[in-house]
Amino acid sequence: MSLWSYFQASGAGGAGGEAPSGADTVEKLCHRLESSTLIDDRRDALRAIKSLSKKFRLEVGTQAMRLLCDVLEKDRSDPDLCSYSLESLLNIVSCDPQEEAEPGQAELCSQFAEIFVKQSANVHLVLECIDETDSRVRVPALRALAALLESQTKATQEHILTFPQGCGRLIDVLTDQREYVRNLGILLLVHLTRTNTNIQKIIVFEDAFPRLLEIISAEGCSHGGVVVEDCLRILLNLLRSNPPNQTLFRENSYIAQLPVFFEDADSGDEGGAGGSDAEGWSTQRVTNVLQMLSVIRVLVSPQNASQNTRASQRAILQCGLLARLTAILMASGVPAEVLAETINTVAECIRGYEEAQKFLAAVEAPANPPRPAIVVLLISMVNEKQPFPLRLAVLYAFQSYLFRNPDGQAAVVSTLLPASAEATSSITAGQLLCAGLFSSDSHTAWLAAVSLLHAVHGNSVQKEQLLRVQLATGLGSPPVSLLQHCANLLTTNPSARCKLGLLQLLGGWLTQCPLVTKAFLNCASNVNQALAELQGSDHTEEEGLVKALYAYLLGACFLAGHTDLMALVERRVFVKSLKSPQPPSQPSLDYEFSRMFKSAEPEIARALGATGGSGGSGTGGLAQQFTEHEAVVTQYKDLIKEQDSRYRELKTRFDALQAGSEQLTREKASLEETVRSLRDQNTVLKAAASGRSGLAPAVASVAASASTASSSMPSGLDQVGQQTSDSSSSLVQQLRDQLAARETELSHLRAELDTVRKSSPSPAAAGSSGGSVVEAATAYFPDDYDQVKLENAQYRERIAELEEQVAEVAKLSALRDSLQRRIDELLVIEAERDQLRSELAQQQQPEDTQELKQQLDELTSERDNLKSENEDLLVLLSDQDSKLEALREQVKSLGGKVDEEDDEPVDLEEGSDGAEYEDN
Amino acid sequence: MSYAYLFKYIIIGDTGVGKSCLLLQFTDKRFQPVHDLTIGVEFGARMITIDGKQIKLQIWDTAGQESFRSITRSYYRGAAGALLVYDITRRDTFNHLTTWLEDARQHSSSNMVIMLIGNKSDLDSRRDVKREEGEAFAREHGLIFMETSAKTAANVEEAFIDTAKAIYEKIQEGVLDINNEANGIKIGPQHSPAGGAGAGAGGSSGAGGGGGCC
Repeated sequence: MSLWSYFQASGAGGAGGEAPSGADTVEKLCHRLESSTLIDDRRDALRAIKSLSKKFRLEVGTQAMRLLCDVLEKDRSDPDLCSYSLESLLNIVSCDPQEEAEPGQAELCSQFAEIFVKQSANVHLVLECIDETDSRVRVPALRALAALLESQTKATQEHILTFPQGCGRLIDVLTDQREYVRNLGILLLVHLTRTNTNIQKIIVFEDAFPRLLEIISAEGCSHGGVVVEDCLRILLNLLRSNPPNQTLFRENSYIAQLPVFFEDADSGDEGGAGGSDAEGWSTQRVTNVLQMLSVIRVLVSPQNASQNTRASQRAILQCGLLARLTAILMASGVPAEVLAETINTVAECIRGYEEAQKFLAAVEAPANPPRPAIVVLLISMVNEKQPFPLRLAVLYAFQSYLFRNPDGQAAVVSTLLPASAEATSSITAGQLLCAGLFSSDSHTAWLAAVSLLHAVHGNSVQKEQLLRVQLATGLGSPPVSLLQHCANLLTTNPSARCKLGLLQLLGGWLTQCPLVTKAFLNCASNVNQALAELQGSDHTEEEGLVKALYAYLLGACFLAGHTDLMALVERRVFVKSLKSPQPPSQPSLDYEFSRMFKSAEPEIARALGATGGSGGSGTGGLAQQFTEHEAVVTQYKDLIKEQDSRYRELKTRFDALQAGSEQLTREKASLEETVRSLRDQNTVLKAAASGRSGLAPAVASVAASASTASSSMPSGLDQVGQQTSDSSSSLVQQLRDQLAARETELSHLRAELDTVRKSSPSPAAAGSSGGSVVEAATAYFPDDYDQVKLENAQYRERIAELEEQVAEVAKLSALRDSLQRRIDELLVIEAERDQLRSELAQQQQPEDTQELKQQLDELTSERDNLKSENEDLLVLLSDQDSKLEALREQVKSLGGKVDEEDDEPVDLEEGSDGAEYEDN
Repeated sequence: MSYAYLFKYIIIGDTGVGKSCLLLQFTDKRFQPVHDLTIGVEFGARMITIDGKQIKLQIWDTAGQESFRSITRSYYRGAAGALLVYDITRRDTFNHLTTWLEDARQHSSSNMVIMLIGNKSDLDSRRDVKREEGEAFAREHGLIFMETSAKTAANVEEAFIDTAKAIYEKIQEGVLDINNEANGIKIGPQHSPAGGAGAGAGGSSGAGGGGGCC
């Protein structure tokens, strides 16, 4: 309420007692913050905005965010302004879900945070504020950045990375003498070190490990408060899935600083008084210890590279951390949760590491008489009153102890063998496990069975040793072998969990051990039981698992060489199994067993050829299956052959196609090259045409391109002109000669005609045909006949000549036509030339144009000459034609139809021929 | 495992000049002709002896690519020594030295010892930067200079060890404050006051660096 009174007092309020709308108020305050020149005024405005920023988050966020950044940028020297700005920012981007019940606020916050971190500059402003030593600025800056990191982890991390020494500044906060500031820095680092490997490495480079360990130590190690928890959380962030940091942690011997953390974890009151223990193990302490155990487990996780884990295991053993952890195991008053996690941690510290396994084997519980720690652990495991996670943890530790530890396996199995069993009166591991197998508690039986499995897993010597174990079931009754007893238990115990345990034990035991499988198959009831189970229902997941395990059991026997085993797996059953070695959370399948199962399963399936198999078949079934198998194989072989040939064929085709395609590509490339060069020329031309300022290179290039573009033209013109002029002049010459010749001939003819006319005046009046006239003439003038005959022949000759000349004239006219065509061509060329000339004129190339012009002029004049000559010729020709016409008239009048048609002279010739025959 | 001092180094320089190969040659005594591009920062370590004292070198090999520059810059501050590497067959890597040096000077402590390294001296036939040029650059900027070959291992030991010697001398002269860890120097565990780490830790003898802190 004081806020409201403040607003009303400051004049921001509306009329009367009505509260003004948040948006209006924020707007006014923003305006004042932005425009006021008085620093106090601005301070007041910003303080008011800060006060409103929680209640009116939306309004402040939308209207003031830019202003808040401006303040951080421009008013850095004013700690009050910066402080208010940062606090407002913090309120906008984060909210306490417990404090604010209003729905949608958290989402709003994350939206504003997202907007804020969109610009790296904004985050950098906050980072710069962290440099301020004034806690009024540093504290809200740290909180705001932590809030941003929490809300927008990835983006904020990236922005911090891009800021010079961004990570360095943040880690420096750890050295702040003011504890609360340092603690804020720790909180911030928790968010900063999440997931980003680069930041994790930089933080480690900046000596985060020693600093954090120092703080943890100063805060009282496991007894410390939430600060220790936060430091451990950072350690965990830095080490988890970051092998280089793990290496560094080890290399710099920080593992050696860890045992101190557990200093008094095992020093519980020897008497085990409840009160002090409860005090000694506060919730925070439990959390702290659990966190530290997680840190250790990260270093030795089976998921790490093995050499990495091994090196850490070695360091843990050497620095006494393992001893410290096992001491916790043996201590009293340790909360079960811590105990279970410690057992898990010990398990991973020794897993597959012989020296550590030996170390654990030698640890003795401080009981009277002293017992091996392993036995004590197993006692807890088979004790159904213990919390189940603890019992599972023991199983994990036992597994890890036996993992790649044949000596340990031998030691466990030996405690079951008759000889050693007598030797010691105290409880042994083997006894505990056997007893566990018979337990009515299904969990106990399962745990014991899986534990026993690990005692023989992958160790055929111990598998055979275990076969020797005989159990006395009752007084008077003969002892039963452990194997048979397990098989019997399967028939009697209805619990699926117990069955799972026993089946895994049997399955693991039988695997790759013919002796054991033989012993198992010796009892017919075992096989029958298995077959019966396989026919059973698998409605629940557990029933399905049991069936799968039975199938595996028979498959394992089969693989071990008992091909006479005719039982067949009904169908392939898939088994869900654990992904990695870890303490099983549910007692179903053991990790190692799952692995074994997975590797053996395809082998079994292959051996049985059970792809879609029929149910359990009779004696001949297997052989039949084999022949079927063979047939299928041949079928497939044929198929493969066919496919192979087809493949080859396709391959050759493909090769050919590829070659073709390559060729095409090459051609395409060359074509493209051409096109490109043409384009280049074009652009050069264009450029030259557009920029005609007369730059020498441009002109040169233009000249070059113009000459290339037009060189063919002028030369072509030349050629054509040359040709036309040459040929036409020669033609004209020819024509002239011919004309002259003809003229002389004509004059000859005329003269001869005259003589003819004089010598034979009568024939003109004679009959129509020359032949008859001549005959008649010869008849009447026998003396003159010969002469006339001669003359007639001469005439005929002349006429033939004349005819030839007529043909020549026709030829000439054809020539004239072609000449005309030439002229047309010339005209076209002229047009082209004109175009070229205009182009050239555009390009302003005087020399070229000059040349071309000259050529053109020459050509034009030549053409004109030709034209006039041609016209002359035409005139001559028409003259000649008319002369010819006249001649024909004369010939006609002389004595025949000479001039009629081309056929006529033939008639004349026939006539004369006939006359000659008559002569002869 | 015990040591008198721990020095932090960084290796910087253009991509492909052989930073990772130098580190590999120094820590593992082998050469890998084809090396993956360094992503962010890699880490290597080796123990050396100077003046009878065991000194542990922890070396951060940075990515040369520009895109990692903001990450690699974060490593300048806490380093006692820097190996600034160029490739004698690529002049551009030599030309970029000024930028690298500016970057280093800006972000590191002023006491950081910088060793200039012209790498790939085995490829003398393809040399593009004269030895004298490298020397001149180093002289001008107050750097130690050496030409090395990560391939033949020539001068690799010397480059790392001479840098350590220079840092060691600075400590002896009192120029470097060994208690300020931002200088990239740490006193070995046997010097640190925090004792009683456990039975195993007791095995680390303190004989090596008895006089180191004096």
